[in-house]
Amino acid sequence: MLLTLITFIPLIGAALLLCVPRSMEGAHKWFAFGVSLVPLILCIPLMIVFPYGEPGFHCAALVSWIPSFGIDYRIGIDGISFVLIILTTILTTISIAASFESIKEKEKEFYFFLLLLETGMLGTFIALDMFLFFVFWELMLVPMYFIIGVWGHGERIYASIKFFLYTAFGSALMLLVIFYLYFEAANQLGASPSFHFENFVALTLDPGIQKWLFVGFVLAFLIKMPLFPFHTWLPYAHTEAPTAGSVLLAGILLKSGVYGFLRFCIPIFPQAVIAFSPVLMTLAIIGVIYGAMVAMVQRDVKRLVAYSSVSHMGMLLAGILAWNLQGIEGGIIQMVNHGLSTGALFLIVGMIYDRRHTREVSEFGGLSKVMPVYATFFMIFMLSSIGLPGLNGFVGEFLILLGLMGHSIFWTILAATGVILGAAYMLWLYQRMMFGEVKVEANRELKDLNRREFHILLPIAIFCFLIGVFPYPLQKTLEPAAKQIVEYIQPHLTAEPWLASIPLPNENTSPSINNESNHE
Amino acid sequence: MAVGLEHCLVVSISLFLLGVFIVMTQRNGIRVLMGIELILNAANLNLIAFNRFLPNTDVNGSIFAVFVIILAAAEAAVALAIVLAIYQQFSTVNLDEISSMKH
Amino acid sequence: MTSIQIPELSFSLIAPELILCTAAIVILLVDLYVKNVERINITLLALIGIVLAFFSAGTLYGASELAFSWLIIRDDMSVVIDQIFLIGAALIVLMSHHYSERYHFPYGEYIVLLLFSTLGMLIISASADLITLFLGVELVSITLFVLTGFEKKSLLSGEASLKYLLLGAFSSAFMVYGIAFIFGMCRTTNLISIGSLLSEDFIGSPLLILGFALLLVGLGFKIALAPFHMWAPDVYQGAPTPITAWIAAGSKLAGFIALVRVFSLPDISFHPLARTWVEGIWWLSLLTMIIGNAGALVQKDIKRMLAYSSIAHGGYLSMAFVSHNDVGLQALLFYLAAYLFMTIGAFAVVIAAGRHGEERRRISDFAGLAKRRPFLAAMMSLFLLSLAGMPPTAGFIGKVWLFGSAIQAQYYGLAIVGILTTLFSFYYYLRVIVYMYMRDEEKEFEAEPLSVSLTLALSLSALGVLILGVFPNTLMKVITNSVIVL
Repeated sequence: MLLTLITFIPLIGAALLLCVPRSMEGAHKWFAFGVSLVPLILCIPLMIVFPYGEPGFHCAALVSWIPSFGIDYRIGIDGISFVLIILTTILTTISIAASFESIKEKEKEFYFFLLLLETGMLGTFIALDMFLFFVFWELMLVPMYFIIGVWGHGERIYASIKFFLYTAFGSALMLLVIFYLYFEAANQLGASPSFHFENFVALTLDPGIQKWLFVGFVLAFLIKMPLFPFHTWLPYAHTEAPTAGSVLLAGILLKSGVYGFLRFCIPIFPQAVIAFSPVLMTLAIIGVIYGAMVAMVQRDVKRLVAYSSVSHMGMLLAGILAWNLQGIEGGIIQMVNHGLSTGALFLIVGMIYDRRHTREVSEFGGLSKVMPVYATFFMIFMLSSIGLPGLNGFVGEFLILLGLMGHSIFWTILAATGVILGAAYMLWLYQRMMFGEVKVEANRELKDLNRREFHILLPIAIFCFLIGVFPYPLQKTLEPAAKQIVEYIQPHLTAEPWLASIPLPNENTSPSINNESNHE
Repeated sequence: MAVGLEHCLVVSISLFLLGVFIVMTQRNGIRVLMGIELILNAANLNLIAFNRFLPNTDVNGSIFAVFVIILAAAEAAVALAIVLAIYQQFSTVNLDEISSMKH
Repeated sequence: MTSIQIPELSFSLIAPELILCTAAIVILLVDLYVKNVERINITLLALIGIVLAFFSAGTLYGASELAFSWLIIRDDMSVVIDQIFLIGAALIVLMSHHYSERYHFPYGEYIVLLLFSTLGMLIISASADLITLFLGVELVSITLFVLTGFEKKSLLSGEASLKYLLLGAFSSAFMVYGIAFIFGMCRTTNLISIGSLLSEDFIGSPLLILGFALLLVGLGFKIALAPFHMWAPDVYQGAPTPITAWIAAGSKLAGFIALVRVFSLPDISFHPLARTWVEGIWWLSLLTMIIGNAGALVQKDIKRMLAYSSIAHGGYLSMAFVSHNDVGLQALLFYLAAYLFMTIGAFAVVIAAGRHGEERRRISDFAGLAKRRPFLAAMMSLFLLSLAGMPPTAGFIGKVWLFGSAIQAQYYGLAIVGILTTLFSFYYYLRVIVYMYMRDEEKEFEAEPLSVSLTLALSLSALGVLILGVFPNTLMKVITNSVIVL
């Protein structure tokens, strides 16, 4: 019930928002802000009732939705979805607050779509019925399309259509596979057909067919993530989207790709995942390095951050593909970290864009003198993105590299190169924008952050420090879910001949996670 | 020589093909309509012939033919009205010249 | 000589048809004898007739009988379909009320013809004999030929009417010729008898196959399956917009129901003949999806664009005949209902966007609509997204169900083509949305205000699209039951 409330209150709020007359200017944003606070506050009881450290799905609910098809409103959360739900509610509230001054026209529609998007995102994370999941998954698409296309900058129309078509392509194939599995499940299990994903997990699929199904299925998630060759929509969408759109796109939508991969792909197609993991790993690492290299040469700050996303997401996937507890946990923690730090970086870029209406790096320089508070926040998020110890980024990256180490030295070295490159482009960006002399006259007059902006960034910064210094609660929350994934995959790992040559990490001898938090 | 089912069918098929040929080749609206009437009558001939020559049929064939005749008349009435209206607008019933749609 | 037996006449079974017919005749007489009758009264009369017919149809659930010497079948499927038709007719009457005010055409006759075309559709859905089927199809076609040409002052309307007439009559002639062969081989025109005959022993006559093929071609014209679709864009563009909506929704629905009646004959699935026409329809479906969607990509006129989109939907719908299973039939019925709402809704927006003498039919005319008329733009987006098959709309559930049926029948290729063409369709549906929301209008345009009737039509369609999308279960249950009874 709690989950249902959290998910659907934004939708109800969106419907109510439509009833607020257009003449009441300024009311829409406050109304939307108020609505978005409700799920955020409701997360507190959720945090109280959530049984940390216990495996399985909690807070479950089951209501029959379309019984003729065996489609249920079946929801439940484990550690991963729990964390992502909290992240979603926080980032939505923040991005609504961040749009107060930058969105000046069609306010009503803008906040309507933002709230609709929130329901879509939350629903994606709670759905356990594949059909329900798909509905929410598609529900994320339309509001984001509008947000980019209507309130974006520059080539917004091209960007929005590209975003829409890429993601729609992936999900269309996913739908085909879901239906195949549905009928297969009806055949194999004999029971009345259902879209419950655990039914799909229980299927025995012929490896040959499984590979094809996997390709159809995983593409949707890889595009959304985005993995290296499928990432081309991302720089456009990110760059042209309004700040709120970029924040949610980077913070949540990309995560939903990884989430789908973890939640559905791995349990349903374990053999195929293993069979494809060298390919995926290669692409992920190419993404890490390619993203970093391209980010290095960007002149547009937002584009730079967008490409850094490609790099980080590759890293994150590489961690998961290490197929050990550290890697997977690191990957999941990195989902949260990336959501926070990249989201914050987009906010930072948005704030300067609101002031100067340009994102060219060369237009700036010496801002730290003019805007000291801004510079401080920028520094925090930049360092968190780089993965400085003591900040959140470090925890995730360290665990990922640790996991990769247990998997293969070769990939670890390459991934570490990506980390170093990441530090390089970020520091360089910071240096170019913040240090030195103020070269452009217009920059001298810039105002520092106002109260609203300060309070938007502050909570994110606090989270960055909290996770960085004290990651244990987060790990504890995620551990059962990560273990579950390892359990799904472990039996198939040994069975696969190509992996036999690679020494598998032994759970007992590899450094345990708790040691890691002592490092700091 | 007694007339049998085969003869009727051959005549009907020739009528049908003739009708289709007319519809395909003629550009005059009225002629096209006449072609269509030919096809309808070919069908009528078929229906009645089957009814007459095959054993164990119900009378539906003849009834159907009556319906077809009535409907053909209705269709012709509507068609001529429309063609007349078209002629007033375009001063032609040539199908190739009646084309004002912008694509 | 034996005395003529008068067969039992069960009028209660055709109550909806009778009521609708009565309403039409009453309106005809009122229009004829009462001077200066208000348009609103005609509209109300028509709506009352439709609503009464709707409820009288509702009482017939569970009847499952053959009547009038096996000419009429009254099963649950026919009742569901009747009700869908009647809802559609009511929406069209509402739209026409607004539209006729704009162009002042003889409204009484118009409504009478509209009701008769609806009557034809009801007859199709209840026909158990090729005679009634043909009668219904002709009733629909002939009334629509006239309605298409109703805008006498418009060149487009006349041209559309002529094209529709010639191709419609041509396809009817094909149908009759096909039926003649079927009659010759089966020695009856009754569909039930034909069905049981075919399932007993296959008459391997090429003439029978020819007969069914000609029938398929004839009906293929009516529902604009490629390659028999050429008439559709011109007719859609030229006809008065409410009639375009009725051709797109009602007439297409009727054509599909006719196909259902013919090609879902009882026990036919075991028949070798089934393979032949499944293969035939497989190609038609494939071709239609590709041609419809490709054609829509390049259109500049919104009505032409919707025409091609409607052709494409014909392709998706005919997938149900390929999968040839219960799921397919259920999906077909559901999607027809969904399709009715979204198509009629989209055309209602097209009407609302224009005004007298200046119809806003180019897609670029929709630029800036979101700013000027936010309600209309939102409605249009809803209908277009539903046509594109985005959740949570009726179009999504329907499409998913259709594709699902193809997957269940293991026609993976067709399902994949369906999904890929759907992706193409996103592009042209989104293009309209792009114009409405993301581009500014070029010059000021003051449209006429929304009338009550049009608002009603829009809201009802939107409600239909959303309810069928979010809570599809009620209709699904009815449909599932009705198909089982069959």
